[in-house]
Amino acid sequence: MCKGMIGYVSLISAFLSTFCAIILFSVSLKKNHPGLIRFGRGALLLASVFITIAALWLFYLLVTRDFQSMYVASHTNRALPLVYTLSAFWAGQEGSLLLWAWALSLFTAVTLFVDKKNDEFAIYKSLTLAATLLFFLFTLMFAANPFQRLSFKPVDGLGLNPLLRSPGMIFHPPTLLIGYAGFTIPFAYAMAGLATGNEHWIYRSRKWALSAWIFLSVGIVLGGWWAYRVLGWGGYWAWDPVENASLMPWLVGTAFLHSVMIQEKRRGMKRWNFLLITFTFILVIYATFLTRSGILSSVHSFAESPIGIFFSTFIVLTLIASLGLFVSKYEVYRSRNIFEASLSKEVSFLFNNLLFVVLTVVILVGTTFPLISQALRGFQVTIGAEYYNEVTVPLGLVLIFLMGICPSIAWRRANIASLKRSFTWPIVASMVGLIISPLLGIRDFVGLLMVFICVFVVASHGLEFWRGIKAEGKTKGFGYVRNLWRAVQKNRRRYGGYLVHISIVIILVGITASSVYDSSRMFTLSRGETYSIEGYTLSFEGVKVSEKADRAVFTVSLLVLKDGRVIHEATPSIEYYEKMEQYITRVHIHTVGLKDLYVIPLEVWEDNATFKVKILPFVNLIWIGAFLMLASTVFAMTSSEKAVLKNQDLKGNGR
Amino acid sequence: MKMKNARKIAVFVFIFGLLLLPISVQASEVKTTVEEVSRSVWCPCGCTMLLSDCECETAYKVRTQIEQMISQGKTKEEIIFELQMIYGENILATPQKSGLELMLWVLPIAAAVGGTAIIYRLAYRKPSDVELEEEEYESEELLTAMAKYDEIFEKEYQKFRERVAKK
Repeated sequence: MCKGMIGYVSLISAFLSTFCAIILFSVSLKKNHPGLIRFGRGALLLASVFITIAALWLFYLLVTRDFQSMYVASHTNRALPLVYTLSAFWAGQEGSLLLWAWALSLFTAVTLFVDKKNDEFAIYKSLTLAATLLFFLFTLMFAANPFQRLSFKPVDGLGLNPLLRSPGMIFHPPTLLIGYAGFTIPFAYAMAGLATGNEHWIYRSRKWALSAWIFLSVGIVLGGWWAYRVLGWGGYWAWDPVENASLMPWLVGTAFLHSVMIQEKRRGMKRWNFLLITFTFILVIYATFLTRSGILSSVHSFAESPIGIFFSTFIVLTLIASLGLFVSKYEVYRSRNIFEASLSKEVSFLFNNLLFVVLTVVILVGTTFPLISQALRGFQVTIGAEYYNEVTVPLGLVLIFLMGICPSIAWRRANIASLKRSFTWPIVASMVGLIISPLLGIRDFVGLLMVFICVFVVASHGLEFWRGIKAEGKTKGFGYVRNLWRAVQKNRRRYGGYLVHISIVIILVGITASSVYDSSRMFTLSRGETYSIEGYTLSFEGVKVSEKADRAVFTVSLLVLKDGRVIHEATPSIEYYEKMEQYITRVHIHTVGLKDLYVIPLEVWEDNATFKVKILPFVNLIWIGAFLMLASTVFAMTSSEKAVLKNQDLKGNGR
Repeated sequence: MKMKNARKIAVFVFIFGLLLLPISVQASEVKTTVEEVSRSVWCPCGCTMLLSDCECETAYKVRTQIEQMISQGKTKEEIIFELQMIYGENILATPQKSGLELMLWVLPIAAAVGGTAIIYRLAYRKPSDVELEEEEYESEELLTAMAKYDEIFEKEYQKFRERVAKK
């Protein structure tokens, strides 16, 4: 069999298997025959085997550098190191969509193994997963075939876009795509729950939703890290349409992870939770579409393609199916009235959800605005960072402030005494923070507001931890550390969530400090000349030129001196890719504690060079906070479902 | 009753005020700088980067133009308008507060107001007859469960007393 055919035949086989599974599941809904359901599960598992073969085949084509494969020829060349050759799998649209389908098929297989029931719920869940998989396979077969062959065999390929030759790109796209694919599972559970009236979907999908959220978060953070280290402008978030596309499902997904608690604890917000997870899924599809269609101008738009019509149709069909089901089950899937007072945890959660949704709407409209403008006025107007910062930063600050209130406020009804108990110390701590701030050089309004909010949130969470220690001490009476450990162990989900909140505060401090208190200078130096910035002296030593297989590298030597002593040699460079006629700037980042010295070479000549140097204080808090956030989420996820169910109203209730 | 309503409204006014804080917390405009203007426009080279972040030749040229306009005493709005005339409307990175772009500024406020109104309605919604019935049914369930546990307790307590009496 021809090399290209193996991959394509695998895709066709996967498509047919998935189609058969859909037929079998649909029939089994009418004729409840266990044999039909078993066959349906088998067909779906077979589809995941075929997709795995197709994915492994693409890896094989890449590793063997089969340049007759259009995908391999377009994204690799002989000079490309093996690790980047493998990462070329997700460098293009076709490979990315195959990775999406592969991740989804593997997740589907896991759900089939974990959940072996053959009831109506399982059928609806599998049907939703199969339908999504079918869409991706259809797109791969007819609009984005990664196994297309050239009529001739080129000697070498075009190579990978130099911007993608970075460690960040090895992990950033796959984690993001796995996160996207992962949100299909809770959506499938929600559809099954709504169709069958089984409220347990909220528990069964919890770990899936959290896992997808973790992957999506890692993907977003790695994207920021990649932009910071590779794009060479000294920032990590530019409100680029594709960055926004990944943030939108993250925001709605986060709102969902919060509001499920209301359903678990109080059996409220059932319809709202269904809508949240549905829109998370829709936004995930929209994000994939924006990322890979090239419909909007973005630093991520590496190719344009005709997949738009496929994705638009799928989004519309999903909306019709899910909202149609929602409307038909509207009365059946009714929540009881759980709001007893305006000062209660329930209402604070509502405001939390409102802010997440408003933020998403703002970003969605801003991101889609170029298309609206194109349709109505004939030209695209892309919205830049200034608009998003003006609108989202203050909304975000209110959200963070609410983050300090939500955990401490009582369920059902909070009274003045409980509010005093919960918030007196956090407010006192915030005031102390405000008094100390000017001594630390923080005198501007934004800085002071940030100090107030951050200290308030950390203090209110600290108080919650203290309460946990005290409660443990009353029953067991061990030391503080042991009591803290016992309290956290007993309720990993709650304290894991608190640690996530504290991590977000750490990230926020990093973002604010590095964007408000940064300093930037642009200067030209001749060999032997020096320039001083914020206590550092930079001395230009010269340029080294080296020829690589596919590029020429101009490496600058810049000594960094502090108090007259050399502490570091910065070696930023400019690379010239002759075949692509493309210059790429490789920045040099020197980390001193939490601060970065960010050196961008702008122009490099034999005896002089122009630089832009940025000092970004506390920027590394962003990465530390992100790591803590992910570790805390994993910790929260380790709480068993039994522990979650233990104190819930719904224990043993199938409604 | 009136006091209670006043408290409810006060709480919602406070929270709504928090949501509107964004509008008041905008940086006040000081003196126009090249950095400030170049954050509001795209680099016309087509690199999809803001003028403030791009370091290409075109970016240098445009920044020099802005510098000249500032030295002529032009305001940020005037400079942006002039840049629009030279490079076309799609150079704008920050939407204007008029025409179609106005939608972008009004929407967050409309969403916040609408959302708060919905929350207010939800928070003070009277339970429907069905919900009242359900609650009644639930309390019946609870009473049955409690009666069962009372029975178990009584039996255990009886056994305990018998054991103590034997000793």
